[in-house]
Amino acid sequence: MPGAWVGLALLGALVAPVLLRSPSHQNLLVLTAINVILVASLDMLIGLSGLVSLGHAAFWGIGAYTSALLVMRAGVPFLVALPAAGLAAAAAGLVIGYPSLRLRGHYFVLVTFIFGIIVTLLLTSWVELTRGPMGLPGIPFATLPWVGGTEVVLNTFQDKVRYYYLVLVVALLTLWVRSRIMGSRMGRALVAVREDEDLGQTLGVDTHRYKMGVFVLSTAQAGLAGSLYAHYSTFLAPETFDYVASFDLFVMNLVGGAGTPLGPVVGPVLLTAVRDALRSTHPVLGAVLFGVFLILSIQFLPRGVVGVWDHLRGRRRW
Amino acid sequence: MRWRSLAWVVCGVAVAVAGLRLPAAGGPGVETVTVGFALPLTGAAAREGQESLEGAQLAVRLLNEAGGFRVGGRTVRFEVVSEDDRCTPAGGTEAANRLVARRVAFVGGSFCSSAALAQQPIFAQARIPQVIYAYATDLTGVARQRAGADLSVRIGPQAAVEMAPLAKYAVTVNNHRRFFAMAQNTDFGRSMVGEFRRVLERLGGRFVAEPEFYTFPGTTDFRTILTKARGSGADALLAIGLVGEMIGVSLQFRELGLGLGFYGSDLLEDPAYQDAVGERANGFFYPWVYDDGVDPRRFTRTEPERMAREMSLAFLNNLKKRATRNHAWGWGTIHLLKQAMEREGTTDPERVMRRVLSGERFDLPLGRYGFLPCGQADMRVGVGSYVDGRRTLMVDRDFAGRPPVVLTSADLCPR
Amino acid sequence: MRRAVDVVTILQFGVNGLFVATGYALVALGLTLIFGVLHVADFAQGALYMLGAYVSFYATQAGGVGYFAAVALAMATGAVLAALNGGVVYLPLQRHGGSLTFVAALGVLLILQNAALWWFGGDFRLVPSPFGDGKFSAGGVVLTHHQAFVLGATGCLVLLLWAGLRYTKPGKALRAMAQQPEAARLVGIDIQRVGLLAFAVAGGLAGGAGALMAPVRAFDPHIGAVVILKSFAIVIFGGMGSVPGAIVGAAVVALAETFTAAYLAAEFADLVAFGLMIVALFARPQGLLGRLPT
Repeated sequence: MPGAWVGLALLGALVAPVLLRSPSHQNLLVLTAINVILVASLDMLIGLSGLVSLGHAAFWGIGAYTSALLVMRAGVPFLVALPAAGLAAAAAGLVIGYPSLRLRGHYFVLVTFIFGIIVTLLLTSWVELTRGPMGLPGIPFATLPWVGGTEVVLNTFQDKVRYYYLVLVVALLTLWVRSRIMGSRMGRALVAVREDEDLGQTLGVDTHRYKMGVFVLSTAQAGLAGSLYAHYSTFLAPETFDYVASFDLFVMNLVGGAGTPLGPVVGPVLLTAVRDALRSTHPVLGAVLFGVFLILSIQFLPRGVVGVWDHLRGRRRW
Repeated sequence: MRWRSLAWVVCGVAVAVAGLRLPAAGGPGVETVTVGFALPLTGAAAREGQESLEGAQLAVRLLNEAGGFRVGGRTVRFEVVSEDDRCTPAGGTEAANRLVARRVAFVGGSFCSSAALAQQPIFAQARIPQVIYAYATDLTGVARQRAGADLSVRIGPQAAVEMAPLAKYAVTVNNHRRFFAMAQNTDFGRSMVGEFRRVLERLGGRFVAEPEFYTFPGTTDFRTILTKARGSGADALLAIGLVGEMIGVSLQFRELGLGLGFYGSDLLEDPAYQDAVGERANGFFYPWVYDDGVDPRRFTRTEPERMAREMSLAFLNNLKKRATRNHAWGWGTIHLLKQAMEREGTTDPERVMRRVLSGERFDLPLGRYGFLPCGQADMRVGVGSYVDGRRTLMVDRDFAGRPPVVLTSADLCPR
Repeated sequence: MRRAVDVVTILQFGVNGLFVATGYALVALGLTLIFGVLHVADFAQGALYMLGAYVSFYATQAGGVGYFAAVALAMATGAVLAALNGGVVYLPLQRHGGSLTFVAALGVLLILQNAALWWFGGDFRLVPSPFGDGKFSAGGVVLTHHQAFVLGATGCLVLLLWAGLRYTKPGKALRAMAQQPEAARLVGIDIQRVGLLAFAVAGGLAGGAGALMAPVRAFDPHIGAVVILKSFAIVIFGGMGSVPGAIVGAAVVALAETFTAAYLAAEFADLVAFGLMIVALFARPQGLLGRLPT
């Protein structure tokens, strides 16, 4: 991947909130940045390791509720709740990943799909903890320590730009971690798993350990995205993290280009922009056209937008 | 080539739509007030959202055709814009931010609780008054306080308004005291069941079992819960759900031959329910919210519902259809704002809303009432039933306030 | 006061559970058939269920067609639309693998759902049953005539499917494709034609299911998404691609839900059903009656 493209994308991300000044666009920017974290972490499973997860939003939700409840019930500062959200999601990833990653075939897809539904049901039914279907309103804004012992409160209704940059930092870190892993021994081992698990094992790769490693890391990042979402929207409801949300992330990953360096950026940006444009024409017709768009993009760009670009330029995907 | 032609089609559509959306030019001395509606226009509550919007659009069309209305010596016209919130929190946030960006002066919606809860702090920060339709108690309680949403009101009932008269009717008129309750596992279902229980227990009744909450309303088969109710020792059933569920529960209740009293949600007054269930709903009771004067009644009305008649006539004359309660949300929003503007002599949003919250009464399609300091409409609903397959109003809106009093204004604003 | 644990009540729960199972089974059967042959998780089948319900509604209400003819019409509509979807959308994507077809399926579902909202409106509908309110009642255990008809019709359809797969030439080709795709290709079975047949059969079952349930379960344009969710999970549970697995899976899930609601609480019915599925997957990753990939 030429540095020029990455630099251009980075520049675009940095100046975007200056160019897009309306609250509606800035809201989409923040959500897109959160989606970049989610899709980048999902792509470490789908694109890099060939592990298709249809329950990624569940880990996002676990992170969101963990962070919100820690801040609201235990008075934990945001900077502690953020990593705690990552840890909680990673713990869930460990529990569900350990048994399910041992087996091959469709097994992992199915377990993540059903696990996602179970998490939504739990968030709905555990009323004492989550307030269930009533939702969790009034989540405090994120606060960051500032010079001289003061604190800045990131009021996301008055100023979305500062929050956007906070999310952007996490998103860039996620992308950086992903690219480091892809270039590492672990990354090569995972590609070996994706292409031919038997061969990988024969060559002495402990495939289960590597798969576990990448899955736990991926779910931890989804948890971080959850915390960022909770203190952005200040309201959580179980349905935000249901199977539809998981499917959405999956679609963004594939349309952007699974396993390509910039795919996790292009997917969320492109789909958010297209959906937003279509919605402003007519809500019902816009939804129909979005369906058409999905089918056409998959038909004509089966490797995703970035994948086709790379293919045309004669590059192999990772 | 396919892509290029597709691109042209998309551009063409976009230009056409943009053309349609150009604001109508106002003449000299004419002020245009933009009201934004954040409603579910797609998704599971699309019909409710679309009808609410239709109500607002017709109200505005008729007002503008009549040349607008006078506010403090100037002529005011309304303009309606809408955004789809898909009945989800994320959609609600998106729709709210879009309406803030479009600089609307007032907002109507959402119809859905979770979307409205996500929107409330956004409109509060932008100081845009929000006229809410959703039922969640928090919207006029803890969520409103935390969001600092002092400019938001709920124009219709909440759980306590609907369930208090129904529970009282069950105990004092029908002598049903032992209840089996079932509801969808949502804010709506849970709060309705909770309020019914509160009044029931105050009047000496009780639930014979913990309420049953079901999760996937679309595919839930109610026979198992109803079979449970049959053997529970209850003398009546309380069932809270949306139209599709109420149809299912009612039919299966009849099939299983449950010899219990039947108390349902307000959705029993929905025309789709009436079409599907008809005579089989005879003897079922529900809180009636909307009354256009057509349904037969068992009481003499003291105060006619002027605005409901007006809206119903407007729908018949202009759109050749019968207005529903969903239309009342949008229609009511427009007319609430109009009346408050006329009385206050200004279109300034903060002053208009202070007038709305002053306690003065307004003529609205769901009755003539004012608003409490917590934003809740100080309104009441009656109890209806099906007689010979027809909706019939059994007691009037003042029922819950007659001794024994089961609902006071204080009950509607916690603390 | 009667006690909850008595024979009549238990039998009634059993009958209820069985009926719920038929609702799941028809859609699950189609899904598993498509999956077995083409490895496509066709979520759009839910939309065909919904369209089947609307076809029966408009045929009987506006078209003056009898209910039974309307069911046949719904099946035909489902079959044609599914084959069309398969031919135009899924088959061209085949060589790229299952993930892409899943994206396409979500696209089709979105289109059909919103097109239905556009044309039919969002009102809940119910089709009057040709049997009216008639019901069998044995000592307090109730089964309506329509429910009995649905059970019977489902039974017949399953038998027909079984016989078709076993004894007809296209059916044998279908099974061959599902079990030994390489060998099937070698003996000259046309994957496109067999694939289209699988879509048509599945679409017919989904459309028929929609029409059969239309007098029992009120529907709107969004019913399909919920229907398909459960059926999809059942296919996973029963073993992706396994026809008997879909039927047994539907029965187990429906009975688990029913008896959880009956003796614990309705709130936990879905939690128990999905929890059971995940536990079963840990114990038998290939599903109840599925085979491990070789």
